[in-house]
Order: sequence, then structure tokens, then C-alpha cells
Amino acid sequence: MYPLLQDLRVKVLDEVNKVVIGREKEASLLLTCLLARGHVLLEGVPGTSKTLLAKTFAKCLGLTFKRVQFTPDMLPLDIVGGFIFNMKNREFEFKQGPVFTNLLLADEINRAAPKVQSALLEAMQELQVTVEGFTSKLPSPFMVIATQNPLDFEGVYPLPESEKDRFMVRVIFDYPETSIESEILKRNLMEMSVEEVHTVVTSEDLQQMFRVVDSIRVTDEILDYLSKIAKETRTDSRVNLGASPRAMVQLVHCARANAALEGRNYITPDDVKKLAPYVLAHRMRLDRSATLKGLATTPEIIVQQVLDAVKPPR
Amino acid sequence: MVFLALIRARRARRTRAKDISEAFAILEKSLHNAFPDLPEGFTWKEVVSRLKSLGITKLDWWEIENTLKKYEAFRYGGIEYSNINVQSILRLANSLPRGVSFAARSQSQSAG
Repeated sequence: MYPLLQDLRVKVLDEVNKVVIGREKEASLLLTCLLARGHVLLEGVPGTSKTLLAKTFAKCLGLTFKRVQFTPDMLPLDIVGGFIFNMKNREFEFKQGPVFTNLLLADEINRAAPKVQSALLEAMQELQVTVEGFTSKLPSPFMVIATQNPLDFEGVYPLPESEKDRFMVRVIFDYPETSIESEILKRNLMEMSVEEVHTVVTSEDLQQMFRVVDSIRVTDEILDYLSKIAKETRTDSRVNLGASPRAMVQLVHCARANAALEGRNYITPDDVKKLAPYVLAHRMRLDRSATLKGLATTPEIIVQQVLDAVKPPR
Repeated sequence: MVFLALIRARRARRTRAKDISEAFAILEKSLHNAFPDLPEGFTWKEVVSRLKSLGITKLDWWEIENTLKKYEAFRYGGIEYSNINVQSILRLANSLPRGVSFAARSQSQSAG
């Protein structure tokens, strides 16, 4: 099964590359996150192919896909669904919202009010939805890919900490390099559509891959290493809110998926170091007084410094 | 130069390790001596990648990487190999350059 997983990464990247150029790293992170059963937050300015990448990714994995454009006037019912009165049998019936899909694209999630953003919490964590005491399971796999604009944009609400903590990784979309941008322009002169993308895996194979990821070996020493990293982020004087236990659990799952995609049945410290910046940085809140003292820094820099300081098992 | 090479060859002959774990322990000690700025959080893969970039031509990097792969499989995966080449790691420990900064490249790597 391990060669199959390595092969899957190559195939997915090939298919994605037919439509989205220069986003191999981001597509690879999406796949890692899907296999780790996590959710992804894509952050970047508009027009950097966040939505297109999500659509292409869903297509090549043969997942059912729904897109919700988040707006300020949205209600939680618009996402999870609700009870609607059926005039024929004179009973209330549960009408499923767009959350009932394999891959939900929550586009511009930070344009909706916090109560709407929070409507996704139960779905993301427990893979189910409860409306007025009625609980309904979501299909498997279930993954949320949310896109958000930078916070200094007009009309955006910051995601609550509890919501950010539900996202396994955050991927920042920068502007492409000049050579890649030229290629994007060249490709867009022709008709390029998601229809060109082929599905590269069956749902049975995908379920088997999930089981393979679950069987990846994690030694106690690696777990100790993770605990030390978590402690270091929490005790750093520049940090107000460090990595949560949920963050560390998600880091292990993510590292497992990465190991499986690299054809190994065990995690190494390199898996942890590779993914920690993506898993930890968006959950950390910096201490404002540290910034005022002139300690200009970012969560990404702090995570890197923590990784440089904590000794991994060798 | 000849004198230096002779000293290194003698040192290499004298360095012994009873198993692969001891060979890596020797390498770690040598690394700390050679690179005072070596971060505490380094991994073997980072070290090999950095040393490879220094262009030490007399070492068999394929063999070193292969040995590292087997060591990691043993260390983290519980897989035991009978044919681990301890000597390749000891040769690396004895060939470390002096006066080179370790962080220079790793910082630029993380920035990229």
C-alpha cells in the first residue's frame, strides 16, 4: 500500500498541475491533510488560485464537492441545514445543508459573522451535525477547505480561536513568482477547465489509505519530542496562547500522513519539523506587550525558533 | 596537506563503533566540535543535507544517505538491518570541516 500512496501523490500533483500552476507544495499539503482527516485553511489575497486549487483537488480524488460563499448576512442554517415543514405529510423534515458532502469549500469564511463560522465547529470536530436535538452523521471522508482573506481587508471578521484550532493546517498563498505568473498567463490564453482533470483514486482505495495512515508507527520518544515542542510554545514570553493539545494530536496525524506519502511506516523528527509550522503557527497568539517592547516577530518565526531549540530523538 | 591527510587517516582508523547507534553518537560529538552554532534541534537529514552542500567530494554520499535511511528505519520503525555500514558514518565524523557556519544555509532554507 505504501508505493500506492507515493504514487497517489505523484498522480494528484500531475492532475492539479493541469489546471493550477506552481502550487505543488500547497496541493501536497492538502493531500497530507486529507489523509490525516484534517481541515485546511487557505489564506491569501484574492486571485491566487485558492478556490481553483480546492475544486481541482476534489475532482482528482473523486470526492463529492460543495462550495459555500460566505457572506455577512448568512445564517448557520445556510450551512448545516434545518427543519422544513412538509405540507404534504404535515411534518417537519430535516433538509441537509451543503455541509453534507466529502469536501466543503468554505469560500471567504471570514466574511461571515462569528456565529456562522462557529456553525462548522461540530461538523469539523465530530463529523456530525446537530439541529434541534437531531443528530446526523456526515459522509466519510469529510474535509473543510476554507479560504480567507488577510485580516486587514475590508469587511472581514477574525476567526475565533476555537475555530482556528479546528483547522489542521494553514497554508499561506503568496503571489506566484514571475516565471510561474508568465506560465499562468500563457495557459489562460487557452481554455483550461476543471473538466480536464481525471479522478486518480477510487473511494475504496482511499478508505484503505486512511487505514494505512492510522497504522503508521509513532515511538514514545517522538511523542515526548512533541510534548516538549508544545511546552516550549506555551512558555515563550512572546506568546499569549501556545499550541493546544489538539494541535499536537493533529501534528501527529499530519506527520503520519506525510510518512505514509513518503513510503515509510514510521514517523521521524523530520516529519514533525516539516509540518509543525503549518500546524502550529495559525493557532498561536502573540503577546501584544512583547510587540510593544520591540520584539517584532511572527508565529512562524517563533515556531522555527522552537524547532531549532528542542532536541529531537536522534 | 599530506600531513593533515595522514592525521585524519590515523584518526579514522582509530575510531571504532560497536554498532550504528554508537557511530551516530560519535558523529554528534564531532558535529558539536566542528560547528559551535549547530542548533540543538538538528536532525540527521538536515545535517547530511548541509554537509553535502559543502562539497566534500571524497565521501560516498549515496552510502551515507542509505545508512541514514536504514538507521532511521531501525530507530523509529523498529526494522533491523544486518548490513548497516557503520564505517560510512565514522568516515563522515572524521571529515567534518572546520570554521564553517552551520546556520548560514539552514536559515536561508527555512526562509525559502
